[in-house]
Amino acid sequence: MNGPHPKASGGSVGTGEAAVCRPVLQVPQTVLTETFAQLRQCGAGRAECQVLWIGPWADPTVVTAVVHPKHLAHFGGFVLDDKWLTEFWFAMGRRGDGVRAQVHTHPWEAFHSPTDDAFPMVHLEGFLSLVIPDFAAGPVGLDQSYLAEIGADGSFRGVDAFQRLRITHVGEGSSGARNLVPLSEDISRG
Amino acid sequence: MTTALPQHPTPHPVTMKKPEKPDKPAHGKIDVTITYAGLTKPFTVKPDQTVQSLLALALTTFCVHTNPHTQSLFSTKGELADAQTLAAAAVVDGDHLLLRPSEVKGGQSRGSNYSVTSCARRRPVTWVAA
Repeated sequence: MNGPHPKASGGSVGTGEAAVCRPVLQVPQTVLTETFAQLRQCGAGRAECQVLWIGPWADPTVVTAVVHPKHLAHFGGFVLDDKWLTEFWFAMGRRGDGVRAQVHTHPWEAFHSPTDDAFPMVHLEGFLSLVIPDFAAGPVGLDQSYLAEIGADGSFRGVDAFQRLRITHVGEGSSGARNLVPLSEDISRG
Repeated sequence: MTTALPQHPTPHPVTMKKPEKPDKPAHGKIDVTITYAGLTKPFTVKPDQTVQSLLALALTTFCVHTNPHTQSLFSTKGELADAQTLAAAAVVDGDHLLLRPSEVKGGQSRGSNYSVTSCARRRPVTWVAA
């Protein structure tokens, strides 16, 4: 299962000017740890899974919480629950939060598939989509991941995860674990 | 002898006019708000315009240029049919709508010439609720 991932973050990715200029997204280590735990628990090595990294529009450079959407999944794909999506986005509007990145697993290598390209949560320039290989069974981190970003032309392209994401620790910067906020009562966790 | 009480001028009847909102839309229009990706913006529209026309306006306003055909307007009751007028879709003044993709999904499946994916595709698909 842990074979080479030629398109993973350490591999060849787009290095366009736009990617270089974009702000780094600060992701608390606790969010990354919770992300892997959720992806492993839900997918159980048999199905793909997705979580969402959310943060306030007041500061779009920070992730403050991880959300596990209600969805259906199988070995090679997943689809989010329609009613959950509506409730989630209304709640995001009330909270003033947005989805900074979507994170999902693949059974083997990490890459952005045509389905990933065509049906993301958000279609705005700069939106990030992180793919974790091996159903997230590997080490917690970005080493084997693949990060894609919507560019100015509206299409996803690979970018260097280590340039666009910064894993922060408690008390570091403005995105420490202390800022992790629970979902409001009107958002149902998956 | 009667003392005439000082006569107070009879007050003229006053018709109380309801103060108008400074941003009240022109007659026949309604105000709605639309949220996309957690951002909310106001729109002033006519009830007889189609959902499709408001959708197009919202896509432009929120700068959603990628796969616009995958986007729809939703109320709390569900997706609005593009061909309907806003009135027919029961959109009224003050309503809060949502702009979002009709479907959000992902997965590794891609071309059949990809052996690993082909292997995955041959497996029986068992949907797992999360």
